[in-house]
Amino acid sequence: MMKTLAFELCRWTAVAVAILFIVRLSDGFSTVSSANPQKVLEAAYTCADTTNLQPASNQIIKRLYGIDPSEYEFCALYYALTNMDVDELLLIKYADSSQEQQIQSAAKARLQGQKNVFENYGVGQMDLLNNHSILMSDSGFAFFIINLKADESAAAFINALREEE
Amino acid sequence: MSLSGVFFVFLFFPSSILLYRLIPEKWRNSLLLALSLIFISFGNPADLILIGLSTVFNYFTALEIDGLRSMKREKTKKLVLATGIAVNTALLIFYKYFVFLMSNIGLNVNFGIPAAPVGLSFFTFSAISCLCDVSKGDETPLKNPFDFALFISFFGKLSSGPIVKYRDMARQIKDRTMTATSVESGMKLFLIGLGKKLIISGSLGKFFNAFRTQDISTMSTVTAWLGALFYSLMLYYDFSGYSDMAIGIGRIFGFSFSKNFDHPFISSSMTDFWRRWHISLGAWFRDYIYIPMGGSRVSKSRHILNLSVVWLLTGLWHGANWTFVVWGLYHLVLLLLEKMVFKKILKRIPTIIKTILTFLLTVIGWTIFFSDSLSTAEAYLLRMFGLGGSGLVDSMGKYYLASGGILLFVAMIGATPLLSAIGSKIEKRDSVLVKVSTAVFFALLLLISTAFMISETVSSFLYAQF
Repeated sequence: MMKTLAFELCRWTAVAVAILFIVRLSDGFSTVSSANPQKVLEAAYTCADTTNLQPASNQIIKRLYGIDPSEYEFCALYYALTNMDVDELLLIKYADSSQEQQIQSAAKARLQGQKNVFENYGVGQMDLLNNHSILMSDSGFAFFIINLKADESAAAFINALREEE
Repeated sequence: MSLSGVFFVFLFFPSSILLYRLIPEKWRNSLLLALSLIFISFGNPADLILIGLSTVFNYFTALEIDGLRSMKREKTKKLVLATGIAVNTALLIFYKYFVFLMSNIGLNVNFGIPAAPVGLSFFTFSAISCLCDVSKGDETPLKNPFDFALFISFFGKLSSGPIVKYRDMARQIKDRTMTATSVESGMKLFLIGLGKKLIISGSLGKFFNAFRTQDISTMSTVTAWLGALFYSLMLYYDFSGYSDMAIGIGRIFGFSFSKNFDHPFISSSMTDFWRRWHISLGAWFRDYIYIPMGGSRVSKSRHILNLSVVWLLTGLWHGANWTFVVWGLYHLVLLLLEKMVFKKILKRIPTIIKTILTFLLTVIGWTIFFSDSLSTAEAYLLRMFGLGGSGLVDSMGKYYLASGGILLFVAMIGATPLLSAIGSKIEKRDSVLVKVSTAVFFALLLLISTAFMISETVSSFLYAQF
């Protein structure tokens, strides 16, 4: 009887600790936007300075960010027309916080990588990278932009998320 | 850490074997456990805590069940067993199905769920098998907690199976031997698995990835079938390759795990197919769901219900998407038709026809499996049967037939028992030439696999997503 009680105590303690640990690891509740990702992308793209932007293939996304677009529900990138420009617009719809962290890490690495390339000689590029780049996550979407109109594009992104599909 | 990665193949694995060989026998289980914990921590260190807590929970639950069974307190024993199964299932549902369930009841909430611990689907099933086997009296619980932890977390089988039942591994944890024969045989199996995964599946995968990027609405019938064939064979070689590697690793350390694939593409019926494909999963569902529900020794309607539950769960086990559910139910329908409607007719059909038909039916099923939504699956299937798209054959179909046809043919031959039968016959000849040729063959296999290993950027094991 005592043994049974001891076993009960041990196993339910393990369950309690596991629940606490999982809650600690989780990011809490947030609602996922039901907005159409394509419409969100169009809204953000329309408000950006699109002079230097072109759509990227999955291979380009893999090469520039090291992430596999097929792992995400929606993944789209616009990138610069030439190697001397740094304009980019990335929109990804992720499924969980680990994907979110993956995207954040990839975007930060991309930004830093571009800064390393243009440091000391690309004044215009460095201005965009330092002062006109935004990385944010909201309602299941990750948004990263390097663009003269980054603020307007980010605002359009947020507004688009609030629209129901 | 991937079993087919450079770090594992050239550093972790050989070091493990060397350490295991050098260490006194009484410390070998502890060494394997330590290596398994290191293996887990290479992915996400948080997994160590969750797998550890799951191990603690199941260890004490198994001990309690055993104690209650010996005291003949059946009702309490069943209650403890039920709560044990419920907790393991809850862990699985939370990580794999919570968001899917919420979105299906109209609640688009994201709990910010962390990534599932490595091998979640596999170790929870192993844990449940332990609780059930101990409850039935088929096995006693492992009293040494480190031995039990090894059963749950052994690196050879943790990340992607096979699903090893408790009764099959418990005795081997307590008593097994590493011999020169087991090391040689295990190493050969590991290398064959590595080659299957990296060389054949990797090559097939490159073709299939090209199909994935195509617009389904403009696909011709031949192109659609080619895509489905590439996927079917790619999945087989990837998963069976990984299973061979896992079984080979186990064999080196003295464990004898049953094979997980037995040339499924020569099956002459769907029943036969499921005795040859992912055998450990089928056996688990048979022993712990189907038979406890009564199996086939019940009324016809109850038999259908039992099969329906098993196939619904089999589909769901593969992932949180309606495509997997439909895929499972697709196989249920085929099995029911085979057992209950066409049984007599099928007996009269030549085996070769039945084999081809079974193969085609499984390929059709895989299109549902690889589609990311039911609408995509529907569109793809329509193209396979000539509805819409670009007619019977287009330039893309011709191109992939020309460039990938030989690979497909070789892969299909390799999926039959022919090559392994030839290999076995050659090995039986006890001559120096055979020994040298065998060594050269496996050295070349390792060399070519290494080249593929290095050339791929990310090639996570396909089934690991399940």
